[in-house]
Amino acid sequence: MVTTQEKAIAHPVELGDSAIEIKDLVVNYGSKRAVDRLTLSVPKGSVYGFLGPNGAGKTTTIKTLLGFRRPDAGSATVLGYDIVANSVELRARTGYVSEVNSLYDSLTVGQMNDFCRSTARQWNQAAVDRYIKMFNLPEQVRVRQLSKGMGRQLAFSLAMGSDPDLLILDEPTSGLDPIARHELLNRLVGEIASEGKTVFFSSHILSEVEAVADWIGIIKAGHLVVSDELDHLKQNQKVLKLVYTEPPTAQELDVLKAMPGVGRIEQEGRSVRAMVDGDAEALARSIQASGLNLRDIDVVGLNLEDLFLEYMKEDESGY
Amino acid sequence: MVTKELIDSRWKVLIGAVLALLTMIIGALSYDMVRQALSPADLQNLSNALGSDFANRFTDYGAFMWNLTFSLSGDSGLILMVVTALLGASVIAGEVNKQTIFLLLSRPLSRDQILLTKYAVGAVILLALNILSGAAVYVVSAVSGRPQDLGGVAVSVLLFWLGTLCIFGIATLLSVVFSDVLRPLGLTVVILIVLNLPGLFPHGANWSIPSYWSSLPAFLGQEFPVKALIISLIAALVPLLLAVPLFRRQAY
Repeated sequence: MVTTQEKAIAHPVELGDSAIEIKDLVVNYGSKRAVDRLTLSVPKGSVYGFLGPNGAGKTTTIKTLLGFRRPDAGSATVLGYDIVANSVELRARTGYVSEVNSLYDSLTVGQMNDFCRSTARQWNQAAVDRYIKMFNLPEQVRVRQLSKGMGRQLAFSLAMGSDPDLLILDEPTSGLDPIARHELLNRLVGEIASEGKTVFFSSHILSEVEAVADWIGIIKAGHLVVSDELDHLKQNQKVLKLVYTEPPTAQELDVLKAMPGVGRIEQEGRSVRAMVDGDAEALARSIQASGLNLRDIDVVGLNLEDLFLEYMKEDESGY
Repeated sequence: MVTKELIDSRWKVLIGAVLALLTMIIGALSYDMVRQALSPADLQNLSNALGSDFANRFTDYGAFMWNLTFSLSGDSGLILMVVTALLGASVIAGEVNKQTIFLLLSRPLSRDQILLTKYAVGAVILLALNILSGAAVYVVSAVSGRPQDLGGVAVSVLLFWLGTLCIFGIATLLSVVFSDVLRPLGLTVVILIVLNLPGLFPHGANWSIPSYWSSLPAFLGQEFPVKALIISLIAALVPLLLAVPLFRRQAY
């Protein structure tokens, strides 16, 4: 039977345009700084891919947002609720799937459903039933008997039970095979996003992020490297490949570096690779007109993986 | 959440209950054998070495049953305490160890609610186990033709329950601090031993908290142990009151 259970009237909050707003967040693990003055805004209704290498601070950020640990400095709001003062309220409207299997192995799928329902403020059993049916999950089987993929699918189905306005997924597809990954992300995240809900998910599998995310944020060593709409980023971040007639002199490289929008430069013999932020085509035309000894010049678009690697390199080189 | 807690602890509770009951019933049935095996000279030697109260445990059926069930030196009581420590040690550490803490903390429940619900379920389980022990003592005694005072058994159940709550609270407090079940369990046993130490010294029983968890005169229906009940209640509440704010601030 389809039931929608309401246990309490949601606390009224004023929501701006951001589902998540983080300001100068600092989180330490003992003497190690895991999140370093992170400032980030996740627009409402977006599918936001939170990227970064292992140990960058993605999971720590998520744990702090959900109140698993307190920030050492800074502040953040989720759906308009302060993460420290209103942690319970924000969790009532947020669905979460952890990077590890955090379901109770000794419970059956049905008992897990009962547990989540009994600990939720509001519960949409119809939504859970729909996802459980979609994934073909057997209700009488214990969680320990489910495959890793099925465990993830169950966690996801249950996260949808509280009819969340925001879904936080921490490495949702880690350890899953490509088919299960595709099923979980492409199919479901798209479906959820079409309902106007916000999805904030961390991952280091860039191809899957590129497939579903419309916004991305890249974090490294606890601080934000970039946060932008993916399309905007792809449109504005390009690489200029220049082939000089002779290996360029330091002076020629300085001229190139001084041009507007030119970022990090890599030189290998006569070839130079320049990261460009802005209108790369216009820059290419102005370089050609500047009289540099060039044999060839080419503008190359970047996919998310290229962008990610470029940002990682930039950060290392001090940009 | 209550159902989940009951499912989680069902095996520990079942095994503990069966062991405690079996030990108590076998012990009760062996009373006559033990009584006959000890000669008056043996009893006198026991009395000289360990005191007349101790020797009475082998000559008086009531004292024998009390010692077996409601004393830490009795097998059945000891098993109950070990089950208690095991239950308490896994309250939070068990969740951390299995990483289910992330699901639990993501629910719209305050940490106080989580801890107190878990504690309440544990307390009810322990009450049920103590009542089961008390009922078994009463029934076995009645069947063997040596009925015990019902009020005395009930008061003993209440006192020993408060004792198990103290151990449960200590183990719960330690399970908030540590992320594995073994260390809270081991440390709880160590603390239990330390709490017992003053009782080994002459007139030290007043300073040994576990000595308040069982009273032979109360079991025999000769007194109502007001002081022991108050001290046991305070001892049961202190670790819980420390665990709540600690869990509130703990990072996962």
